Amino acid sequence: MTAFTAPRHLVLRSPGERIALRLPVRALAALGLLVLAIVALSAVSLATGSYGVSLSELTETLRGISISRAIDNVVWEFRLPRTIAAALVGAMMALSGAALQTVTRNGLADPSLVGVSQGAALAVVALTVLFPELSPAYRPWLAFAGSICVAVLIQWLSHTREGSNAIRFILMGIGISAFISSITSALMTYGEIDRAMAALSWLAGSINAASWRDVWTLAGWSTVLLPAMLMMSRAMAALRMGEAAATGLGAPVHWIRPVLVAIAVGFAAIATSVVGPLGFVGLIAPHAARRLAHAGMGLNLLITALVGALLVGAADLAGRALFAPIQIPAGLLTAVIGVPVFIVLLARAKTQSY
Amino acid sequence: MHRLLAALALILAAFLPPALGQETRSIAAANGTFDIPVSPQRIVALNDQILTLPLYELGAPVVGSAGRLAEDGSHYMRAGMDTLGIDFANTNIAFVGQFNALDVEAIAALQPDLIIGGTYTDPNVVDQLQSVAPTLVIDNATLGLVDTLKTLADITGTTSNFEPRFERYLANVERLKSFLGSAGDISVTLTFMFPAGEELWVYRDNLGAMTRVVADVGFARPEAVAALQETQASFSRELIEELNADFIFGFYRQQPDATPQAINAAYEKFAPGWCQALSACRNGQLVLLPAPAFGSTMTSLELALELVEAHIAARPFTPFDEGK
Repeated sequence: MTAFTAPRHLVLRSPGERIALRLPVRALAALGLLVLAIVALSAVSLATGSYGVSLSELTETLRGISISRAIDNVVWEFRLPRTIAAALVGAMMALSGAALQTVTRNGLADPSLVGVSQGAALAVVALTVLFPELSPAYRPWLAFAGSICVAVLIQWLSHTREGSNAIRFILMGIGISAFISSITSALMTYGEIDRAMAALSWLAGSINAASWRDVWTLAGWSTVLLPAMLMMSRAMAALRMGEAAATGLGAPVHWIRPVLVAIAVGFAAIATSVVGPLGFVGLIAPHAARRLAHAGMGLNLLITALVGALLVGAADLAGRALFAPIQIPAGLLTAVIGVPVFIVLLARAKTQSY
Repeated sequence: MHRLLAALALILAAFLPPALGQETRSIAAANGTFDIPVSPQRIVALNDQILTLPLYELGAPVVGSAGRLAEDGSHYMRAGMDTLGIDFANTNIAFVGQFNALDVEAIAALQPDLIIGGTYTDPNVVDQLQSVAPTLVIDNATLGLVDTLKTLADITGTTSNFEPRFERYLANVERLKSFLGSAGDISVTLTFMFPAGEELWVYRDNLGAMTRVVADVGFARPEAVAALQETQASFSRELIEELNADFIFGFYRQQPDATPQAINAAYEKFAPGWCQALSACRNGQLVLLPAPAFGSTMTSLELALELVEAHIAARPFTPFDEGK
């Protein structure tokens, strides 16, 4: 049963009215437009590339009609997994940033600013340079281990007798990030040149070689982490008002915080393990989502994920198509696209969320 | 009837992927064993300096290659013009991206029947390219220059181009040895300096043609160089006296601004008073060689040998005396 209570909100009630959702129309419209934008971007991405595939050939191939083995290959093995992987990676980095910003109550928190991406990067570079014989299948697990170690270390170092301090957390993160980055650089400089070269392309944050295996890895972890995050959205909303207020509102702060950090680390680590460090997505997407439309935490997280997906999808498409066959890493473009967008968003904002 | 059959065969051949229309053979590479065409007709090389140049020199049909980006955004083959006088602009070789950022679609569009990469190629890209054509990984660092060239000649069916040239090189090595008498009594250090003068690299092995020539002729190395665990190391400026030898070689032309003057100035910047500290330099036996001398081709091997012969065998020199 559905009823309009006010022109700006849509209220959904379950039969018996045990569950009711009050959804802002503007947020729903933003969600819809973002979905449309991602579908349009994906269509352009599938139709664009160095291998000439006409629209009719693309349509036929996507319908399962084989035009040629080469076109099947380009569409099904190169473009489609790459397009999906870009969207998933963007969404995961964005959600990681949203979780970190909520936990720390600091709008500057981002997986790459607080050492999470660097922890994953160090683990993967160490695997590539020191143990090249190990299968790349270990990457997600090692990246996760690297990230979680760094996250725990930063949490521990930033904890004081008075409790956690958001600014201390950020500063510790920046310091530890710099330390870890220097170890990664040392591995790259003094490691065997061929192995360092292999690690270098990954460090640039490129979705160039995304495969279906990567898509399944990203999608599999997302199906575990996203629902878990959405289930905590009410507590997250309370946490945005501060620990004391959240405790007063009945949010189980003592376990929500570490679980949220684990989810943030999980999203960033898995995404980083597949495509390398992608900076600024986790910083920009949550801000952009809040400015696109005010909504409850659950809906806001979905908008955040879609903004991240759109941002990385656009960066990857531009990177591979604008100057083809020169391939510009998506990580470089997310920084180039993201930073000005972030500045514009901040400049336009009348008030700050945090 | 025969004409009809011939026309049908032509039409079929036109629609078949290149590798399907050819006789194949099994070959082992660093990433496994693959069925490749006996005589590949459309090869894509995933590194310009290490693969494209030797393949082109061997006469293999290279249709695509990775390259480098210049500061102005244009692309080029590293050492291509300098070593063999070739680049993307004066050959039919298509640019397919940088060796660490390849455009897999551009490679697929060339319809290659064989793709050759190295251990530096992203393994995920290698996996993707297997669906386009057999993609072989050649571990040039482990094989060394000559075995890499032999392997490339073997897999491209150009061994008959490689062998006579290599035999002539070996004969020239023997000739140089006869000029020198006892080559093992002459010590040689191989250094590498960039114009910035921030780091001095010293090579025990794996500096392309030059380390191969030094090893083939049988020159001695200073203890500190022979003891290097890795094939090369960034050397401390405080220990440069350990590099002293009868001859010290360096290189110029490795990048556009690496002029002989710039490299000499870089040595001085790296370690002021460098030349006075080393008898080889004081005696005019620090020699800068052009970059193709450390390249990955037969041309580089021949050039390195000729330059070493001219600088060591064709003139008197002052031997390094450890006591002085």
